[in-house]
Amino acid sequence: MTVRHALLALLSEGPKYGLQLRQEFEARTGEVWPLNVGQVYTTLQRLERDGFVESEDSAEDGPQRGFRITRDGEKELAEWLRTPPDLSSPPRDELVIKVLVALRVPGVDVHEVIQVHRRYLVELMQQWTRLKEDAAEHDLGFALVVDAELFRIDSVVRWLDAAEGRLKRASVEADAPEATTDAQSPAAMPLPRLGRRVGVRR
Amino acid sequence: MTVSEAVREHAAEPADELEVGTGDGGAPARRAITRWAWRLFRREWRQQLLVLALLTLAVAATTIGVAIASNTLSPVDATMGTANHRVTIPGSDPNLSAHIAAIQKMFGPTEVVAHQPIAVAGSVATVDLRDQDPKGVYGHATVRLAAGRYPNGADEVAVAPPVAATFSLHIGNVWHQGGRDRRVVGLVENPQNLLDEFALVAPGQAIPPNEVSILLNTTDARFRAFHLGDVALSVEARSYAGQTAAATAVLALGTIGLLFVGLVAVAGFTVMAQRRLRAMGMLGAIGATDRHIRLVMLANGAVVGALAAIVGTVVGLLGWIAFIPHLEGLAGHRIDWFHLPWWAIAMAMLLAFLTAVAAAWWPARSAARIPIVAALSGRPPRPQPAHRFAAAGSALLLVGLSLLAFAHQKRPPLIVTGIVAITLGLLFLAPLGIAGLAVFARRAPIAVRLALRDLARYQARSGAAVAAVTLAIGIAATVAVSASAAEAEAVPTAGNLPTNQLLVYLAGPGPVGGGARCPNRRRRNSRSSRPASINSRPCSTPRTWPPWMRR
Amino acid sequence: MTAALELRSVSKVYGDGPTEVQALREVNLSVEAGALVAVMGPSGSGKSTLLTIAGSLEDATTGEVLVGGLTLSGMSRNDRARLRRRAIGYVFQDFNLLAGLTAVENVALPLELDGVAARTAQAAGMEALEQLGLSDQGSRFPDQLSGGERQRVAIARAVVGDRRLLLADEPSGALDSVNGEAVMRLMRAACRRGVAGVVVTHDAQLASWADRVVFLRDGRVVDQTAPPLGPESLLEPSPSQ
Repeated sequence: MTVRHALLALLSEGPKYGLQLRQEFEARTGEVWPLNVGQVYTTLQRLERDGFVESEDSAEDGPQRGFRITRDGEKELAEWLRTPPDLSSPPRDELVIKVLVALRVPGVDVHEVIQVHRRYLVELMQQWTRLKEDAAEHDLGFALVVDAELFRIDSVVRWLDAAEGRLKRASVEADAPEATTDAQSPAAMPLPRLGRRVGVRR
Repeated sequence: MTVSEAVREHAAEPADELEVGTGDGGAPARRAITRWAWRLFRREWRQQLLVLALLTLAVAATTIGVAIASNTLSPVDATMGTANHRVTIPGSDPNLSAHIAAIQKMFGPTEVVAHQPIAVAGSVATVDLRDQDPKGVYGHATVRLAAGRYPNGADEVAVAPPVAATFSLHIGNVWHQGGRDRRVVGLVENPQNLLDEFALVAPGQAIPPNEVSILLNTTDARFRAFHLGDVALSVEARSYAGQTAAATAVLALGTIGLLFVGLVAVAGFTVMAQRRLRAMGMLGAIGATDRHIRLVMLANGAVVGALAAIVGTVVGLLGWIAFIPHLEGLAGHRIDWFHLPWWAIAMAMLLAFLTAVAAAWWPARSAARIPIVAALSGRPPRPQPAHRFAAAGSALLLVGLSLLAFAHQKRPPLIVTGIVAITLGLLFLAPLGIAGLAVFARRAPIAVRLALRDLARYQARSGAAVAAVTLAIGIAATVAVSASAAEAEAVPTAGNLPTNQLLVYLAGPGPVGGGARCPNRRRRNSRSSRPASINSRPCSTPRTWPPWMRR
Repeated sequence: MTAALELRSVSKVYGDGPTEVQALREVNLSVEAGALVAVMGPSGSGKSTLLTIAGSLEDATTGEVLVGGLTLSGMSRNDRARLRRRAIGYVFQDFNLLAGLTAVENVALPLELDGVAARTAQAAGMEALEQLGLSDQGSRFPDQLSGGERQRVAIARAVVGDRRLLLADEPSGALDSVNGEAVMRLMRAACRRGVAGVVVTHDAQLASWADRVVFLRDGRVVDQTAPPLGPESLLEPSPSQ
């Protein structure tokens, strides 16, 4: 969980108050991920419950309450930094499913569906790029965050490109006289059997 | 301040009307292009080394050739000096001094040299005892002091090295000769004929003279108008034709060599143009006109030509200077290294320069014709259909062959024209031949196939290479054919004759050419058919006998 | 105001008979001064052809191309060359600079070809290099520059003088993403100064620097992006989060 570990990371620099944590989090992530106070406190409570942080002064519950990281917390942070994110199981990607479904629905131009999504994604990337362009160049954290977002969207655009290329080739092969079996036309292709792994994450 | 901020400070200005204007950049554009071509040459001159070396070699060889050709022939009369006429009057003439005075009055500055023969024991040759002013107005060129000093007074003499050797004389010795004692005070030589056997005495000391020669400068017409009464004088006039003709012949040979080099250069420059294809495309993309693109190649050709011309001439001159001592021994006269047909050398330089520029012209033209998009992607131009020039090529080939046939191996001009026509014809036919070869490529082993495909793909340079090879063979053939033609026609003047030939000399008016040859007859037949001509005139040595044959 | 570049139903056919390839079909495109337009499409979609036709390197088979209001179709070869060195700047994927000329000489070349004296042209070239942060690299030769620097010099050459049109074909294709971003920043900056830019790419990240993205498929313009919303919209928590 990102917020959880981000807070741990902030506390590893030294004891901080809850409000301070929220401000610093937003500053560090280039204010891309807004965080409400409630989110901060529930996360801190859970961390405290797990023994990763301890409150400096358990007397009052409020914005002035300070937190500090425990040894277990530091260990947890160190482990988390080195644990690769779970990329092995495919995410439940709505777009993939939409394209797959579009293949099966009669009267729908898959290319058009793909283009609609592509345009949307590129427009989104334009907005991110505009953000990056307007930001001061030394704002490293912000640039990294925007880059991550751009690369993420870019990967989806690339998938769309690849999908389109694959579809085109499939249709060319289907049109070719020696390969006109119904089984190979895209509309007749069965949905890939991703089974239960589709949608396991999150 | 960051770059983008700096750039952003320039507010976007409203665009005014776009004007394309006129002109093609003028001198600044040409300078920029030439600068680039020069830089490219400096970077890539190694890739043009073959062309550069061949051109340099051709210029150097031509330089040495014309130098040798114009210096090998001995001056027609080595004792004439800088005069162009010599009048010789026998010493026995009673009115000798009157005649001399008349000649001097008529022709202005003259120089009188008195001669007296000195017999050499055991030899029919004589030593010429000359009384001559070593600083004479014309004769100074025929006397050079090799050691000691010039004779002064009645009892002194300077001798030429061959004379010193014959009579075992050294400086300081006394030479007893003709009843007189003369002290040898110096060694002199005739720079124009090192084999000239003479002894020099002070003016007025060769008494009595056997003959007197008078050197003078005048025109033929004026001389013919002059009559000196009934005197047995002989007259010689200098001719310059030989040297100029020889230099011209060498220059002609050099031109043919340059033609060969030029064809090689076309191939070389074509390869270079292909290597620079993308850069040319880029140049076109940023707005160079076709003329600018052609200029890149032409400037390169000009640089190659100029460099080869200069380096070749320098190398040729150095080689020439190094060769002079050797040549002096062979030619038998002193050679002034500066005495060169400079016009011929300048012509060779100019021809080398023009050859390189002309060779660069064709690749330049095709480079400018390639569409920019194709050039940018580095695609070579599509070869032109092979049959396009085939008709012209065949016609030229036919013309060339018939010229050769018509020449009967005897007429060099026809032979040369024929060879050139055949070379050009093959240049045009080469694409067809190469295309034909490419058909075989399909079945050939991979190495051969690659080579043939490459030939077919880069037609321009293959064609030029084929033509160069043809020309090389053509040159060899021309030399062989012309030589045999010359041999068939020539009048042998010396050496051993074949057993079926006989040489008869007639005492005609001309110095040479009086010999008549009776080819394909046995000696006996010849003698029986024209006995009178043999008996009536005594055989004499031809006057053009080379000096070294005389001994 | 006339558009800096206008393509009116431009088609391009390569070859004929059985080898005929239709590279562009009835393409309409208009780029205003100061705008940067990206043309996106898979390889073979005709995007490079679009660029070469817009830059007068090739003729359209049918249709009209106008640069700065001037129709290309009636122009002689020399007029086009003049137009290119005066109004159009190119940036290619690689091999932009002429070996043998220094960076500043490369930048000054279009001006010199246009008849500007070498000294003046090189001063202008140096100024252009300085604006792109390359003032120290002016006297270096292309092979002494890094890939990113080479592309920046190429951009300087494409905008030097009074250029109206900046055409780029995958200008950062051979660069890593950081250098690629730098190149695109410079392209945008050039457009802000009043140049109309067209960048052809298959890379969405590069295309996203443009004001407008045109999608090309099989030689046809199939779609284009809407004018972008303000970047602030991203900072609103989106409903999905």
